[in-house]
Amino acid sequence: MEIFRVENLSFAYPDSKQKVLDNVSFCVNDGEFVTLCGKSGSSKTTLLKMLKPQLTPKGDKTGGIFYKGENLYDIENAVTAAKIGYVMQNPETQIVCDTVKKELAFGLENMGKSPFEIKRRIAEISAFFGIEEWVNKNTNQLSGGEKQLVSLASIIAMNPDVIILDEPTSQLDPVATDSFFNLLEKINRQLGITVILSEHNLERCFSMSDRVLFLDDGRLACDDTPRKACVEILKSDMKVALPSATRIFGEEFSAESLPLNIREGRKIILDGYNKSTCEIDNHRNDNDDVINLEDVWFRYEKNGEDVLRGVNLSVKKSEILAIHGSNGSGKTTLLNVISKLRKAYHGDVKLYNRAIADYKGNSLYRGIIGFLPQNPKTVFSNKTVREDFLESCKAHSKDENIIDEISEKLGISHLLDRHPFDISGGEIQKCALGRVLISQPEIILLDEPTKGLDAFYKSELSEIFEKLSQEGKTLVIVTHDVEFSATTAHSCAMLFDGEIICKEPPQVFFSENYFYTTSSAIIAKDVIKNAVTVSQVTENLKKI
Amino acid sequence: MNRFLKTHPFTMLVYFLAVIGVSMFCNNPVLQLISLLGATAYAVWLSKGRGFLSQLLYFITLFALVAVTNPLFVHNGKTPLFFMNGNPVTLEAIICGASIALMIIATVLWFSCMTRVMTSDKFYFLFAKISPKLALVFSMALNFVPRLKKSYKETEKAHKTLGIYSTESYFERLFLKLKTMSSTVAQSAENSIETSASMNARGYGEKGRTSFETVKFTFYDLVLLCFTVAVTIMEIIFMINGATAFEFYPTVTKITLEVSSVTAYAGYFVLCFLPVIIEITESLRWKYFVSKI
Repeated sequence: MEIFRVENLSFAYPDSKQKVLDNVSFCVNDGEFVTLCGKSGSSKTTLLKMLKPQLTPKGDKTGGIFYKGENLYDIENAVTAAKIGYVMQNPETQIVCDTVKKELAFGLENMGKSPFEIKRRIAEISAFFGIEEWVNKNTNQLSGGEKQLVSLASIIAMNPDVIILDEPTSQLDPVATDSFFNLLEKINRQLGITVILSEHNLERCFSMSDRVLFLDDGRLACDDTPRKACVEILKSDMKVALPSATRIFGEEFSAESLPLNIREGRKIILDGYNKSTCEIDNHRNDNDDVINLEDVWFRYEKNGEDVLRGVNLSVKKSEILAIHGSNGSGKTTLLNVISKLRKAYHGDVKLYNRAIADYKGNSLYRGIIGFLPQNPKTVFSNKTVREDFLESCKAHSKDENIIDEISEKLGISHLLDRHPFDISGGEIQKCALGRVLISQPEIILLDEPTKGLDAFYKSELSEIFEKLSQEGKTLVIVTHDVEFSATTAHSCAMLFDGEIICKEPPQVFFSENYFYTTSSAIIAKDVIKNAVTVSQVTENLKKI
Repeated sequence: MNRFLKTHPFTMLVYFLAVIGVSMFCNNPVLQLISLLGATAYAVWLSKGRGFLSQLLYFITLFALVAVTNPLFVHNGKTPLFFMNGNPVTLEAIICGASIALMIIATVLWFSCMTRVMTSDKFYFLFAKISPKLALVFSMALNFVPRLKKSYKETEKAHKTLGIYSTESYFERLFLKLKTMSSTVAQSAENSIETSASMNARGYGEKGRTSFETVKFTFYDLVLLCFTVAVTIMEIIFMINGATAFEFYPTVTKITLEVSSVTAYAGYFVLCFLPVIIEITESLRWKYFVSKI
């Protein structure tokens, strides 16, 4: 039976001639797992919101949307509210109540269920999701991943026919992302609930999808099985988002045998290729040390636990260092200590061989250190990006020409007169970096710069970082994104239990790691030594 | 142990409105003093004494400020103490100022107790059926402040490392901080819009909303409610018939201890100390219970 039928749907926002959706037609059947992909700004969110009447934006709409054969907008609000579930991107803003239990009950209360039934559903759903331990917790004590699970659970509790998810894992770390997808698969396979998922990172969700919709500039470029869709996507600039295995073998294999996940890719390599070794790029760097940390200890509260326990770290000029580590391992804390936002209680923190305490007042932030925080919006406080840039120019007594210079380098000239909050995720990240660069800092600290970005923006960011490094800037990046640091970093470090466990060039780092590594490294393991990125693997395969 | 916390939200709301209403609408200093003492006792109980001392200084300043301001502007009263700029400063005006100050502090304290006890879910319970929109506004307002605090801290940290606070001028720095604040507010407001979209998406505002936490209106709630209403009516009657009437000008009314006024004071005293009385008896009962285990 069909759940949704969309016929010749076109949509334009009010006061805009441009159609953000152009003649889109597709059908979603009962029990299907459908993945909607497309670059940022390809109107994925708009399309998904059209399927949920309560969230449908105002504008010029033509064409029809049918839910189980009935016109979607003629169906009673109470029915569509319960039967069509919608999970949003941001875990922070979609939670309504103060405790997990109330959050789970919220939708059921709105539907007017009896207290007895609601309690029963809460018990059921928390057992199914394995979240019994948290039911009495306050929602603001949960991590982002936990919040997103609660949001999903509270929607499943209403017993929907279909759930729509708009990039639900873009703000989560890899471990939380994985457990979220596991649950999503379980919901689809074990409960038979139809899933429509929009995603920009296709590594994980392609192998569980039945069908892929590829949206390109508001038009449906492809509606097919994952393998066939891959062939279509490989032709577009979306291809960087495909699973590593698909990218490695994309050119040689036909649609039927295209590998979609690590297991399939690894099988092809093990069966058909001889052993080889990839050359290691050591990123030789004879510059002086810029950052030196010796036996640094830090805790937030007098009687609290140590977050950093004897960190030793040195970073050379124009090095790009990526620091990895799980949540709560102290990555952000380390950046705060280097940037003097927090003070270590033991050990030496030196910049340019000078103790950090000797940089009095704000001198550290005037041309030495630049800090790009996790939420790029926090960098802005004016009505347009240009005003913010001018404010920085004034504070650092720089010439205004530097604005043009920087915006050209980052490709953000067209965004300067926009309001910072109206700019999309990938572009606001570049604008925020632009503002940080105005003081011309020598050392740039970046906290999760790729969070929420699609593959396209990540590769752009990667190029920008390389350019900055060539200019002699030193970059310290804290990140969960192994694929990004394998292609971008000059060295990778692992922070565990408050200590830097190792610091190596990315090829060594990721080929020595068994589990915490890139998909390409796992695919090539035992066959091609030291290959950790897609391009390294493909180049070596060609040589053979 | 917090027995009073488990009172039915309706009884609780009526209780706080009654206590605050009486102390706000009657100008009798005795009643205001009782109200202040009751509020203080409950506030100390709720905070377990922590943080109360630091508030004390703030309240003393507030008291002095209001008590001094009134005689500066009001020159009524029969007993001038001295003249300032040709205007008399009267004893009556000072007493009236002190009484107003008592009332303000008592009200502030009662409200602080109320926000601790009447949590957002209780507002939901009371108003979600009558007006979902009103309940939404309440809950959003209550959730707005902690979120705002968090995001302000983040934004301030980000701006600190941007190096723009480094100007020498104090006012320029203040101006920049205010701008940071306003941008944080804008951001939080935007987030609130998303929250309300998430509520709508889950059918908020549909008719026949239920509440899964069945709050029973117990006998205890009924007794408490009746007592509160009875005392309030009694206070109103005494206020109208003049037993607790009080004038500051031209001369301060003498406080007499007639049967009617003593009854009024005693009734209000019991009402104001009710939460503390309930908590203490409850904790005594608990101790007795534990000793039997």
